[in-house]
Amino acid sequence: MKYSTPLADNVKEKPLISLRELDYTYGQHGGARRTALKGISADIFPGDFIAVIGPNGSGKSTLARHLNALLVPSGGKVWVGEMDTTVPENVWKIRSLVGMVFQNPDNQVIAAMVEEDVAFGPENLGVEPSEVRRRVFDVLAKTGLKDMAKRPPHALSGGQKQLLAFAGVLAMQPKCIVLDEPTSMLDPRNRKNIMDLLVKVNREQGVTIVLVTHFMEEAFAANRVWVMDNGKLGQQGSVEEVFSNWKYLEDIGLELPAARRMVKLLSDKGLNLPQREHIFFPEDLVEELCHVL
Amino acid sequence: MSCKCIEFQNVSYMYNLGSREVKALINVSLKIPKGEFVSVVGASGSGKSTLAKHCNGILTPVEGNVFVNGKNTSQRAVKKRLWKEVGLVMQSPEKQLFEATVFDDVAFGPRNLNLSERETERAVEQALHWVGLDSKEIGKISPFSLSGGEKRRVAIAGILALSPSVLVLDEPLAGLDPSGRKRLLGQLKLLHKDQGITVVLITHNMDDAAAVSDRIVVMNEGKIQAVGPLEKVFLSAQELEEMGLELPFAARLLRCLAGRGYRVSEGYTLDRAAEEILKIYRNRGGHSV
Amino acid sequence: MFEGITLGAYIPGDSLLHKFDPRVKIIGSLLLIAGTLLVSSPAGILIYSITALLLLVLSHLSWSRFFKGLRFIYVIVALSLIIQSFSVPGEVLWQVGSFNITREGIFSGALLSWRLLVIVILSSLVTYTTTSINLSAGLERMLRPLERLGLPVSQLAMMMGITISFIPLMLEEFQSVITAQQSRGAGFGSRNLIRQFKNLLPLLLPVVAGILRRADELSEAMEARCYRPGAHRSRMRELCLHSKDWTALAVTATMLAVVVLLEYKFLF
Repeated sequence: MKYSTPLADNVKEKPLISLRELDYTYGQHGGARRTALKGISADIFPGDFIAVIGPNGSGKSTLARHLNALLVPSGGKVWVGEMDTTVPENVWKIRSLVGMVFQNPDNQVIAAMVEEDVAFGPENLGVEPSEVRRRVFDVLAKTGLKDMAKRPPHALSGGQKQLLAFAGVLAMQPKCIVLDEPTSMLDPRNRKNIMDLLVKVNREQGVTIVLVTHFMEEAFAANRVWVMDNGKLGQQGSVEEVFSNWKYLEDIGLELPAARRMVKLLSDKGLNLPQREHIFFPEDLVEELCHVL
Repeated sequence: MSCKCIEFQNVSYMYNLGSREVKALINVSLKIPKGEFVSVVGASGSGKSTLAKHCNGILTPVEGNVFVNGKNTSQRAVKKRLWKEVGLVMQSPEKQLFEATVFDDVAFGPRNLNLSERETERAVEQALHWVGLDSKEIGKISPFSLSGGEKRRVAIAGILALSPSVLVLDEPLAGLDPSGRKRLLGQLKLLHKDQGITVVLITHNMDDAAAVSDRIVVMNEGKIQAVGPLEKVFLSAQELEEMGLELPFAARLLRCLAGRGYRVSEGYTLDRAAEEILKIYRNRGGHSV
Repeated sequence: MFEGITLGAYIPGDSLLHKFDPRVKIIGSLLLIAGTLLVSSPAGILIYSITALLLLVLSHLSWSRFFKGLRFIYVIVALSLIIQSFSVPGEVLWQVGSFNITREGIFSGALLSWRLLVIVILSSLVTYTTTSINLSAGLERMLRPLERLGLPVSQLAMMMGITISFIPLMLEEFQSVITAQQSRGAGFGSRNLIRQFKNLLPLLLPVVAGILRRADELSEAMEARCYRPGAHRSRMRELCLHSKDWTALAVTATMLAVVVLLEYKFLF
């Protein structure tokens, strides 16, 4: 589906997060050494919606954890604002700027009541109690969890738990939210809820979003797509730029979005759509077919 | 001539959550014949997992009866032995892994069947082969050091090693990346074709269901909303959306085209949709390049 | 099997008792319990009985549900009455075999049973009207001064809170592992003791592995939300004592003082 237009690339502003020649190797303190990230350089600007895609094992999750200093580089540097992530004193401030939502909805539940769970983040930041309360109720309303405020988190469905995790991060008012495959365990309706919320928060409030996902359709919401290939940043560009290069995507083991696959299938069977290079969204496909048929 | 493999007769199941009563299944009646590949689709909370657990006696109906191969699952004697005939793979089955080696973990089931060591070895080898793993390569490794996708395949092998006549899988593809899903789905289809096992696939993904099933059962809020072959079952897109489901991409595409005035018949796989589109193209005088 | 387990006996409500500060409920019930243990005059017993019933009324809890929840205590109460009747020497009322039931015994038994009953009623009132979160918040607030002595009170409270929310999730996981292993033929109802032990491993190992994985992921999530053990944190809802709380404390403390003075005036 076509999402609303992303915020324009504001390359004039300074990047929010910068990666320079980022290397990361696992197992440096004993255990098997494995290079997970190699020489990654990229910038994330305020208001961006970045989709990070790549096959399993390409380093997407590892990369995500460098953005809020859960991991620090073995080589190269990661800068959040003006802060170097390897400096321990910066870590707390970095994490208040860059929040993170993880894949498993169950393992992010901290408190025994929904509103307490959302309050956890702001409380850690030492936010004044009345402000915490205001933020909690504001964010519960935004995520549609207002009625569940006094219930225990384990009474929530998986999709609601992810919304809860997102609410907890949003209440900290970070400049950027990183999400590591947040919808992979959810059903279509809940997936849509999360995506709608992400798009809303990005387009309306200018919160930078970095979404690690293996659902190609989710990448359509982005203004920039990063393709991870064996620890390297293989490609980056707009949705159109990246998804035009379908040979490359297939080679590294990614599945193309459904509309693209359809274009390819028709092509294989002898029907070459004239605009095929520009078709990414199902709506485009329908338009093109109506033209041709 | 089809032996009624699994039969649900007016089955209702409810339980108490705190002070509320949850009606997980409401008057469900269903017949699954031997050798069929049926998908049970529904959003979370629709009752599909509860349905799955009734297939091998883990749960027994509060009202109504479930018959597996003619035997009533509510009888203790039947319930105790049902696991040998109906293999149930639950959600995130990799959570069940516990043995020191992959071989021992997959052998857990066969050993509980009291098979000889040699028979167990054969069962384990075959089961791993069916999920695309080599028992010689992977047999001695600890299951905890495998990747997520491999763990899942080992867990499924653990059930396949029982050689069940029915295989029930609850969302086996959830959380896998696209290549993992494609591979597992393909292997399930192959297994069904080769071994003639009855397969019941529980999923919320219509594309997957459409790709592999003979029949589809749509569940919503504990009730069966629709049953039948794909064409009969794919209701309006709006109805499906209200139930939290999505039509397969191909179906959505064709319906969109139909809405624009093109004469296309229903289709649920990309191949079918391509065929329909090409039919129209050729009829308009377009030439295949 | 484990579906629907909610930890703690809390029953949601809006009564006066629900609104009291948890610290007041804890201390107040302790003061009242101390009073019941010390009181022995008929007047005192009457007053404390009325107090307990009054609190029950103030809690707006359904009486049938409340007393049904206490049914496990009735056996103990009855037993203590019986045993006391036989074991206290004094004026014999009946003889059963070689056992003498004395008047003193019956009185002593009745007093003991009454005390047990009232104590259970008072403590149940606290747990039924206070969420486990509030209970731990109350305890934490009371123990906070000990932080100056080096006791990591807020971290202990955090651990308690996480445990409370962990337990239902853990029970669910237990249930799903049981189901999974049962589907592979693990029999958990075996009579053979050795078999039962052997059958524990397929259950315990995955659950322990699951707990460890969960702890790992949860600590990541907490760090990502800026949790720093021992650092100062604000609280969305700070516990605050109102006039009704002070009144309740004053009343229960006074009752205890009066009991001590009247019942034990021979000490002064």
